Amino acid sequence: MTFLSDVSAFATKTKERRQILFVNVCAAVKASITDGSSVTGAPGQPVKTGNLKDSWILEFESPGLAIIGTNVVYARAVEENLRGVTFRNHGPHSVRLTVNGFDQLVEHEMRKLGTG
Amino acid sequence: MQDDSANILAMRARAKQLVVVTTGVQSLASDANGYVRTTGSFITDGFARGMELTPTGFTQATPGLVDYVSALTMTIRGGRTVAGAAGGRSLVVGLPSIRFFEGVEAEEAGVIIKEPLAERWFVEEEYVPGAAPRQVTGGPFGQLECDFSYFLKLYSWEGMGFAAPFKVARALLNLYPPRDEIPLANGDVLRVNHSPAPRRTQLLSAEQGWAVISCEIPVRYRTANSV
Repeated sequence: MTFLSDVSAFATKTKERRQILFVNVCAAVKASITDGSSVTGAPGQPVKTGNLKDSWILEFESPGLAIIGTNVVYARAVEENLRGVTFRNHGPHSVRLTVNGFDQLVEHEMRKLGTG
Repeated sequence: MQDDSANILAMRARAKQLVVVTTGVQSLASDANGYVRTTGSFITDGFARGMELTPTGFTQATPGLVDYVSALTMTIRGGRTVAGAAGGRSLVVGLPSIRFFEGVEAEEAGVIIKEPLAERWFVEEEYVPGAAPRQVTGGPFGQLECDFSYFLKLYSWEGMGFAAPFKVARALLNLYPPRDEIPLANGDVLRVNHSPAPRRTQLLSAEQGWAVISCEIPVRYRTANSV
């Protein structure tokens, strides 16, 4: 093994692990929004019929771009806890808290991934 | 250690200081339609249709909803009580006086307010603890890094343009610049987060009659662990 081949192998491994980390973080972000997370403090989507929680999608547009979203009309009112919204379970601001806790989420997923 | 009560009271105290627009103390009069001045300009002062102003120095002290602004006159929805010109008066736009703060009954002039009043602004407060604290310095009594988000939702009367709610929301966010410090009596120092920084939503249609802008101030601070 030469130094050059060592570096090349390290670079390949890093790219692979970066991709795995990206996918894991995306999944963790969606889970934080829908189910809640102790890492971000997000409460998760309230459930009555399951329509809102089930509507959230995670789609990979490319190896480095993912979209997480919902098309439910009242999702915004729930997220912002606007006047008139009531909660039987979970709570509002899951998206906001997930965004605010994103650094902790990435760090958490990195630790789970380990050193390989 | 974390003290959520101290945190919310500190954030609330700062919000109460909000002054968006003011005439300053000067000679003002009121007629059946609204307010009148002979010098200066309501437009230059920054008043806009849809704002809710609070008069000081007038017999009629109830806040009024601005319907129309010109340099020397300001029409108020529902009119005003006539008062001849006198000094020592002011008109101020600040934090709405109907305040649904957490754990506190909204009241105005000693009257409890259970529900929002038509054609009146109001504000709702939310204190949202963030992620679990993380010990960032080692050993006993190490530093815990804590997060919370402080929300103030500004409800304005719908259909009166965007200038007023935009201006009030921006002024509110400007009270909490990123990285600004808010000291607590227990020695801890709250710091307005910069990544993410304070932000607001778009103008959203709320329950019938109102539009809302939700302002969020994310805060991070450190406090000593108790063990």
